[in-house]
Amino acid sequence: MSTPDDAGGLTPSTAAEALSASDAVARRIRSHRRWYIAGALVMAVTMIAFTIVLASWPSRLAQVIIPGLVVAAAILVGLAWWGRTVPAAATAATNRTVFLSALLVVVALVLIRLFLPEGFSSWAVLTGLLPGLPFIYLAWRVARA
Amino acid sequence: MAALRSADAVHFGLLRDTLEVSDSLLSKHLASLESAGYIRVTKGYVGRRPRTWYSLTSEGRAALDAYLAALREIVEDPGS
Repeated sequence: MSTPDDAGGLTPSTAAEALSASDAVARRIRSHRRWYIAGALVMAVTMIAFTIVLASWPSRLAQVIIPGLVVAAAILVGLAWWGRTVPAAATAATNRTVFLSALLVVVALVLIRLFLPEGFSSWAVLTGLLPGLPFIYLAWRVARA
Repeated sequence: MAALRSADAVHFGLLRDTLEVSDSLLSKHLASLESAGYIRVTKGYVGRRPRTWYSLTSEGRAALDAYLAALREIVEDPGS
């Protein structure tokens, strides 16, 4: 890369061209964050669905939950394949998000088991939303970065 | 380097497609930047496929910022 001293020999029009090329490249790379945002939203939906189904129909583990998780994992691999970038602000936030979401799954399942009636209910849905919230926040944060 | 500045990490293929250069030319430039300490290389996998990711080091970010500031100065104050 050229150093600031190298830039001294440039004319204003060449410098403006270099700046505009740099902006265009940065914009193109930044536009790929949509794949990461889509991945975060897929994770949010998966965590919500996983919690609700596991709490409401635990006997369906093999029939519904495991195939559902496999499909979600395949979608995430596809999104990562197409995205080919880790957007700014994502690296630091992702590990915290995964940890917080896993913790909220446990909290939601304990709440559902201890305080809610057995089977599917609107309270189970509301409690099941908890593990998805960190990934929705991650998507929002990456979209804003 | 401007491409790397707008993300935490960028895959080799995306850099090549964005910059519209050949694999060999890009590899050569990236190797120079890595040996200068401006970029960091991380090898990883997506599914079973190996992938090489590039990201800016703090030195690289500082050097790029200084270069862009110098360019802006030339554009905004051509007489200096």
